[in-house]
Amino acid sequence: MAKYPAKGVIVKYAATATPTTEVTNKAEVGFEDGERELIPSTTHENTTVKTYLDSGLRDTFAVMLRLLLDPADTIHELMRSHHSAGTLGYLTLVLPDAGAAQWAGSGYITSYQIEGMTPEGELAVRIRFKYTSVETFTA
Amino acid sequence: MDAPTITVKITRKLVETGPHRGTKGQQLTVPEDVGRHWIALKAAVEVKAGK
Repeated sequence: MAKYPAKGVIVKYAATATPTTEVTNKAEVGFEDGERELIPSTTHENTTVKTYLDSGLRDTFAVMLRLLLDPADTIHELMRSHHSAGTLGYLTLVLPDAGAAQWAGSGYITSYQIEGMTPEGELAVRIRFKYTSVETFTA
Repeated sequence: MDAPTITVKITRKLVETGPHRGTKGQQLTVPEDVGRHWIALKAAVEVKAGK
Protein backbone atom coordinates (compact mmCIF):
# COMPACT_ATOMS: atom_id res chain seq x y z
CA MET A 1 0.00 0.00 0.00
CA ALA A 2 1.25 3.35 -0.90
CA LYS A 3 2.54 5.40 1.96
CA TYR A 4 2.37 8.77 0.26
CA PRO A 5 0.32 9.97 -2.71
CA ALA A 6 2.25 11.71 -5.48
CA LYS A 7 -0.18 14.63 -5.38
CA GLY A 8 1.43 17.74 -3.97
CA VAL A 9 4.87 17.42 -5.55
CA ILE A 10 6.48 20.84 -5.94
CA VAL A 11 8.84 22.00 -8.69
CA LYS A 12 10.63 25.33 -8.40
CA TYR A 13 12.52 26.92 -11.28
CA ALA A 14 14.55 30.11 -11.68
CA ALA A 15 17.41 31.71 -13.54
CA THR A 16 19.40 32.02 -10.31
CA ALA A 17 20.40 29.56 -7.59
CA THR A 18 17.97 28.34 -4.93
CA PRO A 19 14.70 28.95 -6.79
CA THR A 20 11.68 29.93 -4.73
CA THR A 21 8.98 30.31 -7.39
CA GLU A 22 6.85 27.27 -8.07
CA VAL A 23 6.15 25.94 -11.53
CA THR A 24 2.36 25.87 -11.74
CA ASN A 25 -0.13 23.84 -13.79
CA LYS A 26 1.85 20.64 -13.42
CA ALA A 27 -0.09 17.67 -14.80
CA GLU A 28 2.79 15.21 -14.48
CA VAL A 29 6.24 15.24 -12.94
CA GLY A 30 8.88 12.58 -13.53
CA PHE A 31 12.37 12.02 -12.23
CA GLU A 32 14.65 9.81 -14.28
CA ASP A 33 18.14 8.98 -15.57
CA GLY A 34 20.87 8.89 -12.95
CA GLU A 35 21.94 5.65 -14.55
CA ARG A 36 24.94 3.96 -13.01
CA GLU A 37 26.62 2.01 -15.77
CA LEU A 38 28.67 -0.94 -14.65
CA ILE A 39 31.89 -2.35 -16.11
CA PRO A 40 31.49 -5.97 -17.17
CA SER A 41 34.09 -8.08 -15.41
CA THR A 42 33.00 -11.55 -16.42
CA THR A 43 35.88 -13.93 -17.12
CA HIS A 44 36.31 -17.58 -18.01
CA GLU A 45 36.61 -18.25 -14.30
CA ASN A 46 33.00 -17.22 -13.69
CA THR A 47 30.84 -20.30 -13.42
CA THR A 48 27.16 -19.41 -13.34
CA VAL A 49 26.68 -15.66 -13.08
CA LYS A 50 28.23 -12.67 -14.86
CA THR A 51 30.07 -10.12 -12.69
CA TYR A 52 30.33 -6.33 -12.85
CA LEU A 53 32.35 -3.53 -11.29
CA ASP A 54 31.08 -0.12 -10.30
CA SER A 55 32.79 2.53 -12.45
CA GLY A 56 32.44 5.10 -9.69
CA LEU A 57 30.35 7.34 -11.93
CA ARG A 58 26.65 7.71 -12.48
CA ASP A 59 24.67 9.94 -14.80
CA THR A 60 22.99 13.09 -13.51
CA PHE A 61 19.22 13.08 -13.04
CA ALA A 62 16.63 14.63 -15.33
CA VAL A 63 13.18 16.00 -14.50
CA MET A 64 10.28 15.51 -16.90
CA LEU A 65 7.37 17.90 -16.66
CA ARG A 66 4.01 17.96 -18.39
CA LEU A 67 2.45 21.37 -17.92
CA LEU A 68 -0.93 22.70 -18.92
CA LEU A 69 0.69 25.55 -20.80
CA ASP A 70 -0.06 29.16 -20.04
CA PRO A 71 2.17 31.23 -22.36
CA ALA A 72 1.51 34.31 -20.20
CA ASP A 73 2.82 32.61 -17.05
CA THR A 74 6.21 34.05 -16.04
CA ILE A 75 7.87 30.72 -15.22
CA HIS A 76 6.39 28.93 -18.24
CA GLU A 77 7.80 31.69 -20.45
CA LEU A 78 11.15 31.61 -18.63
CA MET A 79 11.43 27.88 -19.31
CA ARG A 80 10.60 28.38 -22.99
CA SER A 81 13.20 31.12 -23.36
CA HIS A 82 15.84 29.13 -21.46
CA HIS A 83 15.31 26.21 -23.81
CA SER A 84 15.42 28.46 -26.85
CA ALA A 85 18.62 30.26 -25.85
CA GLY A 86 20.36 27.43 -23.98
CA THR A 87 20.46 29.32 -20.70
CA LEU A 88 21.46 27.61 -17.46
CA GLY A 89 18.55 27.27 -15.03
CA TYR A 90 18.07 26.06 -11.47
CA LEU A 91 15.44 23.48 -10.58
CA THR A 92 14.35 22.08 -7.23
CA LEU A 93 12.02 19.09 -6.97
CA VAL A 94 10.28 18.69 -3.61
CA LEU A 95 8.53 15.41 -2.86
CA PRO A 96 5.21 15.39 -1.02
CA ASP A 97 6.41 13.13 1.82
CA ALA A 98 6.33 14.23 5.45
CA GLY A 99 9.98 15.29 5.44
CA ALA A 100 9.71 17.12 2.10
CA ALA A 101 12.73 15.39 0.60
CA GLN A 102 14.15 17.35 -2.30
CA TRP A 103 16.75 17.46 -5.06
CA ALA A 104 18.27 20.79 -6.07
CA GLY A 105 20.73 21.67 -8.79
CA SER A 106 21.38 23.44 -12.07
CA GLY A 107 21.12 22.38 -15.68
CA TYR A 108 19.50 22.96 -19.04
CA ILE A 109 16.07 22.42 -20.53
CA THR A 110 16.91 19.95 -23.25
CA SER A 111 13.47 19.54 -24.81
CA TYR A 112 10.27 21.51 -25.10
CA GLN A 113 7.42 19.79 -26.89
CA ILE A 114 3.89 21.09 -27.28
CA GLU A 115 1.90 17.96 -27.78
CA GLY A 116 -1.38 17.19 -29.52
CA MET A 117 -3.22 20.47 -29.87
CA THR A 118 -6.35 18.68 -30.99
CA PRO A 119 -9.61 20.66 -31.25
CA GLU A 120 -10.92 18.95 -28.14
CA GLY A 121 -7.66 18.72 -26.25
CA GLU A 122 -5.80 20.91 -23.81
CA LEU A 123 -2.71 22.97 -24.57
CA ALA A 124 0.10 21.08 -22.86
CA VAL A 125 3.88 21.11 -23.05
CA ARG A 126 6.40 18.41 -22.17
CA ILE A 127 9.65 19.76 -20.79
CA ARG A 128 12.80 17.84 -19.96
CA PHE A 129 15.33 19.40 -17.60
CA LYS A 130 18.75 17.75 -17.33
CA TYR A 131 20.98 18.47 -14.34
CA THR A 132 24.50 19.21 -15.56
CA SER A 133 26.31 18.61 -12.30
CA VAL A 134 25.79 16.77 -9.05
CA GLU A 135 22.41 17.41 -7.41
CA THR A 136 21.99 18.08 -3.70
CA PHE A 137 19.56 15.77 -1.94
CA THR A 138 17.95 16.93 1.28
CA ALA A 139 15.69 14.86 3.53
CA MET B 1 46.77 25.89 -2.86
CA ASP B 2 43.97 24.00 -1.15
CA ALA B 3 40.40 24.76 -2.21
CA PRO B 4 38.54 27.00 0.25
CA THR B 5 36.40 25.18 2.77
CA ILE B 6 33.64 26.11 5.16
CA THR B 7 32.50 24.53 8.41
CA VAL B 8 28.77 23.97 8.71
CA LYS B 9 26.29 22.40 11.10
CA ILE B 10 23.55 20.31 9.49
CA THR B 11 19.99 21.34 10.32
CA ARG B 12 18.01 18.93 8.10
CA LYS B 13 17.70 15.19 8.67
CA LEU B 14 20.04 14.50 5.76
CA VAL B 15 21.83 16.51 3.10
CA GLU B 16 23.97 14.99 0.38
CA THR B 17 25.92 16.43 -2.55
CA GLY B 18 27.95 13.76 -4.30
CA PRO B 19 30.50 12.46 -1.80
CA HIS B 20 29.63 15.09 0.81
CA ARG B 21 26.99 13.93 3.25
CA GLY B 22 25.77 15.21 6.58
CA THR B 23 23.07 14.28 9.06
CA LYS B 24 21.21 16.44 11.54
CA GLY B 25 23.37 17.99 14.24
CA GLN B 26 26.61 16.95 12.59
CA GLN B 27 29.32 19.57 12.18
CA LEU B 28 31.67 19.12 9.25
CA THR B 29 34.03 20.98 6.95
CA VAL B 30 33.16 20.86 3.25
CA PRO B 31 34.23 22.73 0.09
CA GLU B 32 32.91 26.28 0.21
CA ASP B 33 30.63 25.97 -2.83
CA VAL B 34 28.96 22.89 -1.33
CA GLY B 35 28.58 24.52 2.08
CA ARG B 36 27.14 27.74 0.65
CA HIS B 37 24.65 25.68 -1.38
CA TRP B 38 23.56 23.80 1.76
CA ILE B 39 23.14 27.09 3.62
CA ALA B 40 21.07 28.49 0.75
CA LEU B 41 18.87 25.39 0.90
CA LYS B 42 18.47 25.90 4.66
CA ALA B 43 20.01 22.48 5.20
CA ALA B 44 22.96 23.84 7.18
CA VAL B 45 24.23 26.88 9.07
CA GLU B 46 27.75 28.22 9.02
CA VAL B 47 29.87 27.61 12.11
CA LYS B 48 32.12 30.58 12.72
CA ALA B 49 35.64 29.94 13.98
CA GLY B 50 36.02 30.19 17.75
CA LYS B 51 32.43 29.23 18.57
